[in-house]
Amino acid sequence: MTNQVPAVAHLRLDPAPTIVGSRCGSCGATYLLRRSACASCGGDDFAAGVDLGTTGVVTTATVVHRGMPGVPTPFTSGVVALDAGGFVRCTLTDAEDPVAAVGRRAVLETGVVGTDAAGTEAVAFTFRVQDIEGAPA
Amino acid sequence: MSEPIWIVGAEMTPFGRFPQWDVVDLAARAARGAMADAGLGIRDVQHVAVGNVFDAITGVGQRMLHEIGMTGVPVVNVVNACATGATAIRSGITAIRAGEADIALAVGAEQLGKRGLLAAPEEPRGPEFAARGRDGAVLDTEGLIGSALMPGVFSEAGVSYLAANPEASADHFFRIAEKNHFHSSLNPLAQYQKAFTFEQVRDADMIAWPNTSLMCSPTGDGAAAVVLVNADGLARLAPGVRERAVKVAASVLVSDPWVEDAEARWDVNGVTRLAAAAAYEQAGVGPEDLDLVELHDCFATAELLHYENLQLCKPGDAVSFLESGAPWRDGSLPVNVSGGLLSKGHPLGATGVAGVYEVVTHLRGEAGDRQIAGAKVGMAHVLGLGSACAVHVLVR
Ligand SMILES: [Zn+2]
Repeated sequence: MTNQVPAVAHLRLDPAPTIVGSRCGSCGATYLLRRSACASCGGDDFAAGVDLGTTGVVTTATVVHRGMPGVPTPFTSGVVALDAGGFVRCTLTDAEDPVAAVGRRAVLETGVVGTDAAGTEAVAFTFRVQDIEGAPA
Repeated sequence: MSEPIWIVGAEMTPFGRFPQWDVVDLAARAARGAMADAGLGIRDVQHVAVGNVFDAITGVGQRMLHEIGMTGVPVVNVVNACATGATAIRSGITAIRAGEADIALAVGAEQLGKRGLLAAPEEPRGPEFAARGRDGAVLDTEGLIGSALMPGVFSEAGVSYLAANPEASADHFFRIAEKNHFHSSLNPLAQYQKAFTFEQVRDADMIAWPNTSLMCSPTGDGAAAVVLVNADGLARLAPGVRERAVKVAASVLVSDPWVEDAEARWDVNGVTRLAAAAAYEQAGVGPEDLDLVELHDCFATAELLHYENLQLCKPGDAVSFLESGAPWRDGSLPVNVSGGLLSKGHPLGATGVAGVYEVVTHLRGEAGDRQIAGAKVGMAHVLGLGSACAVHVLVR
């Protein structure tokens, strides 16, 4: 079987793809990235590897028409507030109207985005925006 | 709250593309202009602060003094994102208030050359995947996992506003760019100096919806400088200079207050609200006292948000504030009569000083064709993502 790695550390692939993060033991703030201490309370007592799930609500979006050289455009960029806490920057699919996308539910999807010299595949994620406006999580 | 400070000299170079001048030429020209405006020479200056972003590591302040006068005074080179110039001004103010100077020179300068404002491409990666950075990315994620480029950041901020305020539409952002480009047609130092219609703004190349190319500040070169004094410094000046002095009623610099989504997006609002509230408190004036405002319209979307963030209107009233005509130069509270960053230009290190220069020039009644008649109180705001937000309130 082909070896796969997540494109970023806050994506966990096994046993099923999900977003992971850490949660401050003092104030409950949730983070996805590597941290020195909590930006809310200054504490450093984190629960790591917390499963933040695959669903959330879009908080903002834009359609990028001019990107870095080599990046295909247009695409929709935005942020999803995860139901289990934390916010993730991502590419949104089914979100051609960014204003309409805000407040809608979105679900994690993954796919292979590259293969290195050793044949290892990198798996990245997008969030697909759902048709029906979501109720608050 | 502490020792009063005045601006007694101010100068700004034209903003634009000047391949014939390096960053030191630009800084020196602004500095000498500001000193001449105050009737002072380099030997009168006791503290120098120079704001610059892209050449900061080269000691622009010292290189400037090598051109205009090597006097041995302390020089600090300041970099603080798009608030760099305003931070240089604050450096001068704090040196005076610390008792180290009566007269200080603050300069902002940028020679962008061929550099763009988009982030530089990543360092090349090896043949096999290896995690790098705070997100542990094994490959370049820009455009793959969303976008973190500036146009996207400010477009997303605008979209959030549209989603929360149904009366707002992209048309309001187009209108703001139309206004600021019109304003710059009266400013001989502006990069564009050209009015564009609403339709031209709307139909220009889309960068990141809703911001088109005419709604993104242009890259460019330029410099601005001010001379700052306390009461002792003021007393040394010629009467004609003293009577043109503009008082710094507030000088505020803040970083981000905590927000729960700070990892996923830059918060352009909270940091500005924090700075504005502190500035009004420090100045002892309210938004109703302002005669003009220069605010950080790096993208057209930002300006609408800052009407509320700077308390120029009530929360939720930015659209009606704009539609009333208030922020146009003949309106009740003119905003960005210089043309703003959108049309005057945005040479990063110079921007924060240039906003103060603009307000000072109006308060002195010396703004020529673009003068806001009778202006007595003005505000200059800059926001560097990361974030650094500076607000100055100036009073004549
Ligand atoms: Zn905490």
